[in-house]
Amino acid sequence: MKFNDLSREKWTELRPYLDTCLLPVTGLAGNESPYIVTGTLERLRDLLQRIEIPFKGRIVTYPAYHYTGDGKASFAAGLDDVCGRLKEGGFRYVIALTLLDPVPSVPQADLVLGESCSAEAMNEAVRKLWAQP
Amino acid sequence: MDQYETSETESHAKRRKEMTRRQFLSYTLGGAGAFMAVGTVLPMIRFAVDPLLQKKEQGSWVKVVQESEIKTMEPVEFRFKIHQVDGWYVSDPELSAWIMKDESGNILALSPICKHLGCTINWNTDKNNEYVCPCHEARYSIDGKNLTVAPAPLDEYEVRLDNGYVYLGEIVPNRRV
Repeated sequence: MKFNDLSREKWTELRPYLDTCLLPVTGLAGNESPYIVTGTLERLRDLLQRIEIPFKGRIVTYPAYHYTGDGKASFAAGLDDVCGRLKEGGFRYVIALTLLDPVPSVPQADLVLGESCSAEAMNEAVRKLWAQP
Repeated sequence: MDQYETSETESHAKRRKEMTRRQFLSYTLGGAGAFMAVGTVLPMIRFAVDPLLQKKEQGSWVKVVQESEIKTMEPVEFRFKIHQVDGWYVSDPELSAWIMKDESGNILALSPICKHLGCTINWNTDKNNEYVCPCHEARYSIDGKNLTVAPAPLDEYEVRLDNGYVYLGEIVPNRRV
């Protein structure tokens, strides 16, 4: 489900079942032309569907982390911080899904998946994550 | 009776048959008014009764697979695209169905959408001849009957056979269990 599908009442009711946060990471630098931005967001949308559709009843897609900023270090640290806060907010698992290649290292995310990962591989990775004790 | 009396009688008779100007005006105005009223009301009546006159839509059928590829008591997943028009938005989303023949040879096509919270189920992932949902481990029998977690059985597709091909129609509640 997407974050905006959940009213306060629905979130209260479904919270025990929705234990996984899906964080899209767009990877925009900020100097892209509008049409490039549009194409990038469409690619991200298609990538998200590989996880959102099969696992709709357990995953909450949060708003995207769009910009990388200047330095790779500050971006990765910021992303990691957000993942940590999502867990503080109550999510048991955090999955970061990004168009960046190579995928960044995000220690506080349970899974970081990139565009090069096939739909089947993503599916398998998520199942394995949940199967862990 | 002389000729004057005759002509007078005749003119009296003629006067009775003639329409007065008042009558003519009344008829003309009334007729024109009635024409305009009918012209306004008739489309409204036609609009109001239109649903009764519409033939029930057959719904769209999608050719999915040859009947010979369907296995008995072994569901197989088949993917297909449908053409969808939602207002101004036109799309061709991909759907899937788990299709098998039962022991009587009837074809059953189940929707893969879990009735718990909408995840996509798979067949026999735990090797126990059940549909299993990866999200909260809802389980369904081979006929789609809900065994655990889910509140309802899996929906099924309307199925039609034509020239050796399986066509799938609308998704309806499970009629088998």
